[in-house]
Amino acid sequence: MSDRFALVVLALAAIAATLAQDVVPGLDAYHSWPYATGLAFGAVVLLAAAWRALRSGRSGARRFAFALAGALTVTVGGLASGLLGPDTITVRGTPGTVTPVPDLGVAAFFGQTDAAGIAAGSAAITLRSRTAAPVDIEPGHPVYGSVSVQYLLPAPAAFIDAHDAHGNHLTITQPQGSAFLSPILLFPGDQPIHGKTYPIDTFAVPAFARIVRTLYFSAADTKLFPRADFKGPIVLFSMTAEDGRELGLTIAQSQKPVTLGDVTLEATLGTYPRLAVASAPPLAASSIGIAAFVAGLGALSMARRKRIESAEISPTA
Amino acid sequence: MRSIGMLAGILGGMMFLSGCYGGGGTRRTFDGGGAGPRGLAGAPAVSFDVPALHGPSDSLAAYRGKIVVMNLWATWCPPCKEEMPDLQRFYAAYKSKGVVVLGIDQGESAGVVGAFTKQYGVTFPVLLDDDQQYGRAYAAVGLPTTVVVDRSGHISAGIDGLLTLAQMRQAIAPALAAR
Repeated sequence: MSDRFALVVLALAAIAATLAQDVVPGLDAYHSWPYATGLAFGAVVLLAAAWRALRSGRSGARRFAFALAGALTVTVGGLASGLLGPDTITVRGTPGTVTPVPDLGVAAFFGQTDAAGIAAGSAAITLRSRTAAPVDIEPGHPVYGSVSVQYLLPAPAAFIDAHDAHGNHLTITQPQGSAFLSPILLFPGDQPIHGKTYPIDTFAVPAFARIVRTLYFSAADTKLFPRADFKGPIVLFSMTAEDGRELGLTIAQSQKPVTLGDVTLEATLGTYPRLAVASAPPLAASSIGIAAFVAGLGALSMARRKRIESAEISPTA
Repeated sequence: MRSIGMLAGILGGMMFLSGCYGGGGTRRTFDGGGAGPRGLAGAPAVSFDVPALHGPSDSLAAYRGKIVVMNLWATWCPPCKEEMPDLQRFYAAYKSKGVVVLGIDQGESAGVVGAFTKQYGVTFPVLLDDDQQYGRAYAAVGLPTTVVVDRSGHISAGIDGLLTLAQMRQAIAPALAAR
């Protein structure tokens, strides 16, 4: 294996390691010392090789140096994002509320939604600051900052509708939740069952003095109930009276009402986003670096082809 | 020799910088909300179209230009029941001064709310917030919750819990004084 080939492999590895932060953002590995040391080592070798190639004065070597400089730019961008970028954070907010995100110097406005929005998982989050225009983040469309990326992580959610026996709508509250007056459950807790954890949340129906623990099972998790044939996610309601009396439990599928303790409950199951913030290499550095790397190698390859062609036309030996 | 020294220096620098990275325990999750309505003072007041108890849909925005005392309540809430007569008296006293009391019931049906307002002789406008949007947006941590919105549409005060007539007067004083 020639030195040049080894350097190209190293450059590709460094670029791949850096771009992994864009492709699979938020991994703890990007903030670990082996990752940083690996990138730093790659950067040093690329810098030394580019410098040596540049000093050789040959035109082919200069083209190779240009390619290595491109790879170096990408790699340094990857290092910078790990150093200067924010830690990986996930922010959970109730629809219609505002949460400060000090790491970014912004306030996150969690979009209002209703039962249909929960079912569709369509809610968005807007980031606002005093100094810049608002930034809307929508599902599947990450937004890049200088050394960070902000994106939405869909998380289990349920919109709860409660009625009495006469069909009167009842207030839902979450005395232990981050938003007291919300019929939208975001399942911040974990309930271990048989070595696995499942999302759990609690709400109250104060007009009937009822407290309902709600366990969420994704469509894949419903295999815990082998005799039933559920087509989507389900919730398990476990109701108690405020005086501590157990009033029973029941399983509910999305938008299929169930009655427990004189209260009819209808859960619309779906997702509501959490805001995820992770470090990411500067988009400009990555784009320019990759362009330079490809252009340098392309120019080198073309020059070599021309040299071979001219040697075939007028052989000197 | 010089270039080896330079390389070692760069490598050392890179190693030092890599030490600035976290130790892998950098993932954090935190929740929003929970601050309560007090922290909202000065912020623009958000508005949602919801059904009115009497008539078509209504919203906070429809009362722009007036001082609005927005009261989030429900019929099952004992302090709300206790506060309601004072709220009605306050409305009667300040209506002529450009002050509106806007009752926003949280998540109950028109029949239940209508019977309640009739029993308590409520004459101020009442909205039915089925999805409890106002409750979430105004960070209510309990009921009743009162939010004073000034003539420019900004929140002048956010108060958690029952208010007496005297406390209601005190709560709107800054908004009344501002011209």
